[in-house]
Amino acid sequence: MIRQQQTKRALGSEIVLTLRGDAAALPGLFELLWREIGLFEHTFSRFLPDSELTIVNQQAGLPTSVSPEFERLLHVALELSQKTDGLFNPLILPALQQAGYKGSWPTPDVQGLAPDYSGSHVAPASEIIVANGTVQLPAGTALDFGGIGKGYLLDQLASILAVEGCRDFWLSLGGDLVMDGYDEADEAWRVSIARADGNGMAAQVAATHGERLAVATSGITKRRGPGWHHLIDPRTNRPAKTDVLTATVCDASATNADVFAKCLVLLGSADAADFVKRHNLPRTVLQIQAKADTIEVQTRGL
Amino acid sequence: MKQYRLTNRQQQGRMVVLTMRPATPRARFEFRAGQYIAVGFKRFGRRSPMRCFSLTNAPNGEGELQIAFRGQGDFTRSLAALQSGAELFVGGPYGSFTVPADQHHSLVYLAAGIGITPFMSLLRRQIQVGSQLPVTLLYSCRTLDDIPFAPELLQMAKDHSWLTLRFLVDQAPGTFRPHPAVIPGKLTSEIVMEFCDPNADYYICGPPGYNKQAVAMLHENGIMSSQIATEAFGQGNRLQIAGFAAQNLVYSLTAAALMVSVGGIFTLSNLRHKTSTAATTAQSVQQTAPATSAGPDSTTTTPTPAPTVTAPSTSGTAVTPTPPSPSPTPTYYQPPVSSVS
Repeated sequence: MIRQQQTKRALGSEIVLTLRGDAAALPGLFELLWREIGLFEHTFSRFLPDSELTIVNQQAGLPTSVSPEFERLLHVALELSQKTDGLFNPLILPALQQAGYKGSWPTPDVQGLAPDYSGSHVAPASEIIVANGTVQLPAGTALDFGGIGKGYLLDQLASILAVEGCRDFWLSLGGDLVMDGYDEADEAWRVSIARADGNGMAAQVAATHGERLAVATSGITKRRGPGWHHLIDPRTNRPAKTDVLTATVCDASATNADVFAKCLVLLGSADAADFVKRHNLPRTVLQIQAKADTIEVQTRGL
Repeated sequence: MKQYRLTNRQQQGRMVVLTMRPATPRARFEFRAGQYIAVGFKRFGRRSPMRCFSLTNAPNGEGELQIAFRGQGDFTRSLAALQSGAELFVGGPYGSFTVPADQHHSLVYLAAGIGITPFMSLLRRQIQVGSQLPVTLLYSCRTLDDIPFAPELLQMAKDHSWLTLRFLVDQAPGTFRPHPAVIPGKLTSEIVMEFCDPNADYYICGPPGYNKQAVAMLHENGIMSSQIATEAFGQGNRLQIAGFAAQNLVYSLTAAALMVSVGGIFTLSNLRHKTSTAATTAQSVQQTAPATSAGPDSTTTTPTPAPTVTAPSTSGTAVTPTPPSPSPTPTYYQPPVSSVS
């Protein structure tokens, strides 16, 4: 048994794949994972002119045939939008671009690279029609899976590994992680949660018995300009005004963890506790901007 | 080796920029824009191997040195993780990828990826001395995402009319141009013809494959070998190809010292190349950086139960390239960290 790790940049982030297993089997597993990531990017990237997502967006207002994979992710997104009372809205892209268009290329976030939907409007996700392989977006809107894609893909990758018999791994897509099994010391993987100010770690979390666990962190610490960050509040269509610098959610599902982490940031510390209780989130970490230059770390269930 | 201290660390996208100052006044040395240095550091109390990096700053008389790199391998990741105040060991300066002080022909810089680094030093130096010599920079990148020094280069082009700047972006979507300076696609003979001056001097820096093809394109357009200087970047050891394509100078302290001592004859005006046969058909430059769907940027392997750490070189003055291991040797493992994506 060996542990092997591969890193690469894709989906606009650093991807780290760490697997433990038989030396002969690992190369094939890595190849499988990278291929899956490439396919996902090709289907769901809003930066690629020929991705399925771009085609759907270009046909907003008209019924468009989509692949089973696209329909599946869209169903999951719509479910989570309903579950979070619209706090997660996959149609938020126009507002994101309107808020961030000032920070256009060549800043590292390459805001100017994607097709421009800043002239479109935001509609409730409930207005999307999807059935039997066809999707119809409300006219003048644009869809994006940025708020859910990484978590969803992590769940897919973890499922692939389970089917292939790989029991011990951790995978990271830009800081959102899923892990299963044990490390080489036969202990459950331990994940550190970075401090919001970048100085060290705020907390650590591990799966109790090596069961599958996803850890997703969202926040407003990656700024694209003064007073601007990339988390848009669907209630205002503007960058969220919140005292939560970062929120980390641990859940068996990376998809849920991804979406719920963003929701906690949007809600702010005052309303986050209620959300955590309502959705029964077992383990969370909130890093809150307390007095000037002070970060308060609130952990629950760790 | 001279002792330096890390004074500043900056992260610009995926690129790390380190600034260092001499630990003592005697450690200070002067360099010329376009040259490179060898850098090592201490790890687990022992000296690491040395690696070469182009200097990106212009000489400022205070001995300050600046390098930029992407933390993709074990060495560069460890280097990127150093904190302010860390001790560094510096050898050099080396190299002849420099512009003579009496240069009067216009300049064309062809860069690919992180090969932009020596050109940053050359451009900053030109600004520093107030030269108005026309410069065209054609900078080839794989994607629009995270191009090293892009904002600064754009500002330079805006502030200095002598600089013509174009980004040639291989994976820019379709004909989408987020900025007038962006040209979707790779470097081609046609682009060379459009932007290049038959009387200019040419400097090329990138992976060996890119350099070879760029030189071929220049020859196709009637540019003489005596007008061309190249500097090749490779993974691991640096290949200093001072205009003689047939010779690969694998970096070692001995070889570098030899280059320094004979470097005087490698200035652009003295280069004597063999004239290579120009290709008769246009060809585009192949970026050697891997596409998204290709292999990983890095792989580390760890046997269970405990990882083995490769001990860095402890030799005090002799510096040799690290030989390839017969089997994967784990030296760096990135532990799981959850952060804002």
